[in-house]
Amino acid sequence: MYNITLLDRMVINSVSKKNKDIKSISNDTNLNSDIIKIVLEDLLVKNIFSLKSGEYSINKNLNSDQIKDINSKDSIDIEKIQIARSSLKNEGGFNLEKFALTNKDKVIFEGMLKNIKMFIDNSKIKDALTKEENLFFWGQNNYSDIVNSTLY
Amino acid sequence: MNTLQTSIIQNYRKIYPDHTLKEISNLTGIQLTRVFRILNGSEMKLSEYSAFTKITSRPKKRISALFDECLQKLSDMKLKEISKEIESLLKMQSTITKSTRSEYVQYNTIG
Repeated sequence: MYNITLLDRMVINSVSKKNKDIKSISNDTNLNSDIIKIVLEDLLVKNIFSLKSGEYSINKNLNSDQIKDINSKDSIDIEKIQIARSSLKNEGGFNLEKFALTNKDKVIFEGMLKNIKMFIDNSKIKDALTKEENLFFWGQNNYSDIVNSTLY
Repeated sequence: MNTLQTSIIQNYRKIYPDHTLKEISNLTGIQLTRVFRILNGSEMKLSEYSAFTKITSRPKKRISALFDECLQKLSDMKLKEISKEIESLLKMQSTITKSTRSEYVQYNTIG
């Protein structure tokens, strides 16, 4: 299985918007171009990317195993864990609230979350630079279920 | 200052970036004035090399012991979770290390 890192994924995200050369990927992601070169080498070897006239693109003939690797739950989970961990150290932080709500307030709360998601989907700038994108995380679970699930 | 000495001091600074001369002296057992001289280029004695490397190897020994304990005590599922994340961190580190080397393979046009 091909291990997709945060770096790989950012480069894949950038190139999936538009085919780019190394300089454009660096400008889009704010990643160092030497690091991008290594990531690109790896993605080319794995046949996930193609290179034509200096521009990198996602290989249109990805096989089902490659697609599975990129979108695997494991790989996406690792991305989430690393983003959450890095967020703990960054200014934006990672907020956590422990609370119980009445059934009526739960409905209101769920509605507000749906509104936020809808607002993001409808308002996001489609051709924004990758480096200007924000990472927003949400989700809620039962406190006891979460603690119990960490036991085994 | 020779390369080995520079590398040992840099290693120490990576682990303890904010240590004062006094803290370094307390931890290594080397006299305060001697620590000052060493950090300013005076050649280290063998015992001083040893004192510094003993301190810098502590975190690695601790991690190694923790891994051994994990292997003994954690469930397969927990070990799998840890391995996946470590693999990912190692792959990223490998990318960073390769990128800092001047020589890298240049790929010709594909497709």
